Amino acid sequence: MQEKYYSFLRHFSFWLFSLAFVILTPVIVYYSLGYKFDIKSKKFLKTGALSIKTFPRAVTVYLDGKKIDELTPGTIRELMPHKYNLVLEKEGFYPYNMEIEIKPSLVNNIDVFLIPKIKGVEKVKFDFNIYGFFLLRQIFTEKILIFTDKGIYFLDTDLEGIKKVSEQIFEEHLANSIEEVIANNNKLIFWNKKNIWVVDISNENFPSTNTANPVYTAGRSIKDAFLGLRERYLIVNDGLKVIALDMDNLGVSFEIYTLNNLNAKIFYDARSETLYIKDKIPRTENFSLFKIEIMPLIGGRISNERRKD
Amino acid sequence: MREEKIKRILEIIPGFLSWFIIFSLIILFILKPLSAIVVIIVYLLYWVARLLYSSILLLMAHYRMQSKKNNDWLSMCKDANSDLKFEDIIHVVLYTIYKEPENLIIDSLNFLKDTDYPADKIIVVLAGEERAQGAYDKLKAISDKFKQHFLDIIITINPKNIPGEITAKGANATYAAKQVKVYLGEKGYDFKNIIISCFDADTCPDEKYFSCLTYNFLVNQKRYHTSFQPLPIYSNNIYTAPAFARVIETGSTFWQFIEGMRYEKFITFSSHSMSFKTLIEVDYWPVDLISDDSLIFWKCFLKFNGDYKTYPLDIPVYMDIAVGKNLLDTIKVQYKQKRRWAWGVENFIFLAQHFLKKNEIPFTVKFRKLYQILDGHVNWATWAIVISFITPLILFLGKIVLKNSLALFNLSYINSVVFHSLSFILLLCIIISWEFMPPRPKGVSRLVYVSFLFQWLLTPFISAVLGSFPSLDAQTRLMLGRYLSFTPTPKTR
Repeated sequence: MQEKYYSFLRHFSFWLFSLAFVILTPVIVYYSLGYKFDIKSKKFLKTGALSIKTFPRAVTVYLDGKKIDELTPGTIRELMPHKYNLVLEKEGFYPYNMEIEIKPSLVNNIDVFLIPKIKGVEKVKFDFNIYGFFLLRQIFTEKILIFTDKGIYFLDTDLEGIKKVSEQIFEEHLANSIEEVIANNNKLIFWNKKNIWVVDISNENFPSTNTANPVYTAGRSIKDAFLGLRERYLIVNDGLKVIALDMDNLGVSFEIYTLNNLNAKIFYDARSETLYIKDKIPRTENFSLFKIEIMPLIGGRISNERRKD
Repeated sequence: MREEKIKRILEIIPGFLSWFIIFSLIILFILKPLSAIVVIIVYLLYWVARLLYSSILLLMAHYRMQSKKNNDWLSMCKDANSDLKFEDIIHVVLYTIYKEPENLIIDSLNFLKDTDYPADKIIVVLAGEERAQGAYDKLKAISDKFKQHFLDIIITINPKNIPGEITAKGANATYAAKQVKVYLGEKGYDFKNIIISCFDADTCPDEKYFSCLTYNFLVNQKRYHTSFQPLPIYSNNIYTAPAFARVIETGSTFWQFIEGMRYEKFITFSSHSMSFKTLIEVDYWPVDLISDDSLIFWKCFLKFNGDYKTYPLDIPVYMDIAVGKNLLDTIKVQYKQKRRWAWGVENFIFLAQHFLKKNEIPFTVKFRKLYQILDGHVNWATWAIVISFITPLILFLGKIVLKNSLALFNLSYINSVVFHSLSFILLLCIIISWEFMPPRPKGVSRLVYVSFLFQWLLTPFISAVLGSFPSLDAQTRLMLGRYLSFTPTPKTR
């Protein structure tokens, strides 16, 4: 080849790469920052990305039900910012299902460990981080209440159906400390040693706040709690006294009995609306059993309020 | 006084620019991390384009060399269509010698003797230095061994402490060339027909080097305005040199290979050849500067008002890989050698000073040449540092500062594209370097080839530590006015 051909080839390559650099650099920079040109609206839109790592690899990805061509690990780019339903599936493993949020110019990094299917073992299809769960038995139904990193859910006992009941997130340590849960009149009532919470589950439009504030904080330590007085009041032994918390008017309570000893115990018979108390007799070392019929004590209040209603 | 001030400003410019690039990226990241990431993305894309362009040049250079591999240059010389006669051409081969061992010089002369070019047309000059004790006796003994093979062997001993001279290769070569001028004048040779080759003591020309050089000299219409640059292949001691030293020197070879395709930017480097007439006209190599090999080109460029070029020859010369007594010493030797090469940034000051007085050269040409030198040296000092250290640092710190930023995520992706581009060039280098390999000496295991393959994994470390750092060191010294003294590279075999 003659020198002039080398010279031509060299100049051609130089201008080709220079041109490619000048044209592609702004495009790549814009693309790197998450911009995407939308032909329909003729506007630059800011997108986000989803980076998925899985164990095992080569997992099929579905985003809002649409199969993604690429297997994991991989990155899905140019996603418009909103919430998506992500499903990861692989033969021999439980599918992974979760809600993810894509934000503009950000990458949502998902790192998932798929659990292999074991004979006779079922796994929920929804992959929230579950902090705690309770089995709630009602007359005709049984539900599992789960406290997760995404809120509070009711789950069918066959692990199929799931329904969000609250946006409120109870951190793992808090969810683990819950001693008992009662579902009553579209309310979830649950408590640990220190606090009592009530979550309204009647409202489909969840409140904007996702932090749950206790309706009652014990002076010492919550020992026993019973739903009574026509399932309107929560009768609580808080170590110092027995009180009744009005579940219809949160924040309203009244004292039933002052305890003499820290080791006092109570039992509430909802059928007869009677409160039994094991407590020490003042100025003695002996415990005795006390009985209080509650209805006459506070029944008048309820009747009066009903009349007002 | 004014000239001194201008010189100091010029000395500061390259180092300032290099440090500015490094620090500005770090400061920008502290102040505006996202902007720093965008700048790094642009910088990396620039290098992807540049590396891919370089790989095209490498392939072209390789193709050109292969296509001329089987040329019968000697016959071509005899049939060359030229105003000069082949029979009249005389070669002066000047070896600059300091303390190189006798066996090394003998090896070089054996190679010279065995070229296909008629040895009775070659005058050998053994240019020793008074600083090296017993230099004359050593060179005399060598001369006696080879005298009958060449037209003549001249021994010159450069006296020490000549006013205005520094202890550098250029001063020795100039002293010897002046003696040769007297010798040739006395013998009645026409300087127009003399080609001088200035070789390091370890330079072993390929058997076709002088016939190829002569042919190109004969057919070149601007032969007195042209230097001839062979491809330096560092392979004489390739089977005994440490892996990292092999990688560096092979890298140097490939750099020259690529540069050889850019005619208008190509300048002389290390061993080179040119017309003796031109050498006299430009008053020989510089005696007071270190990078004599490239400065001789710029002296000619200035002398002929920009009408001067370097022509890349397609036949190589073989040289030694700089090694020390042990691994650590080799690192030191390599570092110092690369720093000395990087001291070639003094070309910028030399040229800028002369350009100020030279109105015959158009401003655009001056600007392009100065930019060419500055661009080469500043990139040399910074690119590996930015790619090997600053980018990973920003990627690491970015994960803390910017967490889930898409730009940061894409930067790591683009960074991997750069490394893939580098790997592509490395693969080309591995394939091409195989062809430059001399035959395996007896006693060297075949397993050495395994290390030849895996040596390339050292490239990222080497490009930063023995690529950019020596260059940054040289520029910083120049910037601070702490001038480098010439350190000859020890040659042992």
